[in-house]
Amino acid sequence: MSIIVCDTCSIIKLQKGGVIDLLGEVYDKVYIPYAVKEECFKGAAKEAIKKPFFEVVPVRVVLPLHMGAGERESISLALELGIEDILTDDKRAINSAIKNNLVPMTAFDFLLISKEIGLISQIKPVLDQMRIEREGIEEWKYQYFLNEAGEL
Amino acid sequence: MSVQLVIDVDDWLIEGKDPKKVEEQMKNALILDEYKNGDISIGQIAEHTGRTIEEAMEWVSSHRLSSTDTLTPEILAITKQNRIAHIKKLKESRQSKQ
Repeated sequence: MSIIVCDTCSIIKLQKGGVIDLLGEVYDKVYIPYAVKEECFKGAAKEAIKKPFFEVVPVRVVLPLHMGAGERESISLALELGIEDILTDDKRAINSAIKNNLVPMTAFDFLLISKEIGLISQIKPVLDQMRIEREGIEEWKYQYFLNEAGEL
Repeated sequence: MSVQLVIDVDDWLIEGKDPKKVEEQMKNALILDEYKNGDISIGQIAEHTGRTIEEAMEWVSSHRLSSTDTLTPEILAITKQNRIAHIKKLKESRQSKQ
């Protein structure tokens, strides 16, 4: 069974891009800790996490990592369950995941993965939709991701 | 990272600026700078400023600091490696299911 742990910012990005359902097409389950559920419930991602592939999994021991609750619990959950794949878009969380021998990827990596395995034909409309939804993406990174997707 | 900021309030008053507003702007500038350096996370910004994660992401974006600003070339290189390995793993898993 393919499982990934997901942090709040990545869920919000994918929700804004209108592609949250792709998570369920790639993975059997997307585990989120309670803090991520709480953070998502306070915004537009509230509906997103009601999708059946999301599963709220409690963390028994939350590591004393110096970051936000969702990020801290996501990393703790991944380590506790021995799930190395984690989706997060925060630099501090990514660095912490690397230090803890996890395999972090961003929402943009997830889009590229979805394209590579044939679930979407282009990532450009998704990036454009994210921008419309006030998700700032620097121009050089916009170009970088398009280049990675072979869409330049 | 710890930065100490000393503002002479009288100077700001002479220039006709609201010291409270100036202090707020300075605090925001420090928060954004720390975020850009990866010293604080978006979750911490949300907690420290009383915003939701989504509001914090939009707040960061509204300051011309896109939420991808913190994805440095080094981070992108690492996640690219992870992505390539992950694609291989997914493809193998899908093939074995078929």
